[in-house]
Amino acid sequence: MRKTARPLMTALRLEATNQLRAWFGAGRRGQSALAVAGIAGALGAVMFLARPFAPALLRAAAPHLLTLSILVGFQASVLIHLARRKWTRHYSSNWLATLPVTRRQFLAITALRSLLSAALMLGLAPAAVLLARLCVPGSAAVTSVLLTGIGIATATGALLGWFLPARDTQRSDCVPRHAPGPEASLKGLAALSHWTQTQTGMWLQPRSLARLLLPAMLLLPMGTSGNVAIALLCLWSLAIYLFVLLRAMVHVARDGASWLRPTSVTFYRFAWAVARRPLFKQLQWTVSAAVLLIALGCQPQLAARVAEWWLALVTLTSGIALSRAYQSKTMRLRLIASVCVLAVLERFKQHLALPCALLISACYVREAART
Amino acid sequence: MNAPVLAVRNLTVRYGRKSVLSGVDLSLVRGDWFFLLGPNGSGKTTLLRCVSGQIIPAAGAVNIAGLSILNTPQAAKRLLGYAHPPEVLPGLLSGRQCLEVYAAAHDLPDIGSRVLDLAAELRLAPILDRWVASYSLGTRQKVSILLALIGNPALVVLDEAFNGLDPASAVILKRELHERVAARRCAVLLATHALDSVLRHGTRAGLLLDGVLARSWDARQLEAIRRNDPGALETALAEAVPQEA
Repeated sequence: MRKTARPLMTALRLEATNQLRAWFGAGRRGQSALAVAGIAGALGAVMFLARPFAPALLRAAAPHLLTLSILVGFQASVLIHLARRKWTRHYSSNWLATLPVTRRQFLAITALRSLLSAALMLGLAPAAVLLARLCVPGSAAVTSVLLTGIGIATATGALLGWFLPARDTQRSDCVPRHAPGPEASLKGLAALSHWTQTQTGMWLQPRSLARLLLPAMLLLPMGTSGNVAIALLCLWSLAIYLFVLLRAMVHVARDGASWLRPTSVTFYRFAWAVARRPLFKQLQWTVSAAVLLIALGCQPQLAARVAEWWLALVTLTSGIALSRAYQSKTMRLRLIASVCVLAVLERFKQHLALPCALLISACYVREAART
Repeated sequence: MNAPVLAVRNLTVRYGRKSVLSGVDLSLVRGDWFFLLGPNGSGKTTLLRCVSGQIIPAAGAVNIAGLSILNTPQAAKRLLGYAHPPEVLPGLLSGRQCLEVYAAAHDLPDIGSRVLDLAAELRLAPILDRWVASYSLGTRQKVSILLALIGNPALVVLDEAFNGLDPASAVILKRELHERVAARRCAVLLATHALDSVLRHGTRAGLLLDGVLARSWDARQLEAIRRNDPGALETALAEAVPQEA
């Protein structure tokens, strides 16, 4: 055995190596090749779809470098802050929590895992710019400036997010995260629907919401009238609410499925109980957001398309999340593949996204009900 | 020689506004096997998690061999062996890799022959190179206890550690702990509901009720119960726990 003074890093390295072995080891080569081909195909589809938009993307981004930097910096700070909280909590209570390691080692592993978990999202903006650089000849100068700006904003945001004060989750007197809501005593499976609402409320506590509203306030142009500013902030809040509601539904689908799978509750009953209320809320508030968009001067067709696309994404995510959670399987790859399919279809014929999403979701739901 | 290996003073823990532990005092020396008893939700696990430094208390102090778990956690944890719940073991490491990581953390050159012998006695040896994810609950429990024994810790903390074990494995592990305690190599703090173990192995016991150490038994009192009336402990516990009206 190789002696090491960094047991946390060693454990992480071993886990990563074993995970790779599990993915690409003997007996799973076919599946792995299929997954790699799927990812490559998805990337190819993204490139194919994004190519015509690349010059417009560069033209739109170049004059708004400051705005873009603020957004990217904010994203980095939120992602790193949340990731730090998550991994601090993880390493305070996992199997390595009682090991005699220095605080520096603890911080190093937390920083590394925070960076790794946020890397995908942090890499989106630079990847888009690089993609545009590949697609638009002679754009090296513009993209270099953009990449530099994004890089500085990401680094600054990440540092801010890391050093933002957070509640010490190890402290015993902090309030537990998943406090039961007042609906916990509801009869039957109705409580599942309310669980999503309660979870959304937990994630959107005033403190978190205030942080999320801050960039929208900072991005408001000078001289914006009060009414427009309020409408824009409402729209931003609505967007956050809809996104968090969808995330909460996925969360509840996973937790609820692991809890109810061994019982006699059928999949349809489970899915209906979890999805009914959140889906109704999604429909209700997406329509409201579309109306607000139109009131702000957006073309009705464009507002309708945005709403249609969001509802398609909600339908797809809900169907896949519920079915995969009930089968105790991961949903990410299927969701990415399905969204890519929708994007390609939409490219050839408009207004196909929602019906196709309904169809795909129905297939997943049927498959889960059969198994 | 009789310096306390664990000294808990005025320990207070609150979850939000709810007080879970209130002013708990506890002192163990090498050679003590302390059984922590109490109904569900009385604060046993919270107390053990505080002792192992996983929860920072609202007030009070926890010292392991004179070292504060809050102020000098690295030094204090060198003397601590804590058996984590089996579900937190990493599924993607093998049992041997888990043991190696723990041995490395304690600056040991290898896992150690005693722990490997114990693994063989527990019929773990043939599956030690398989991933933890493929282990049954009981097997994970065994690995978890073995992890707690790595590096000959001065204080071994176990939370209902024998619950998922088959009787033969439980006997082997209890015998190992008994030998360590009898040789005054360590003190054991074990939260359990198994009263027969208290009478067989315990040198001390305490009853935790609503976060307060409501009653305790020393070696002499346990010996008297063992000799005169083995059912007395159960009766005493039933009487001490307030009944719902």
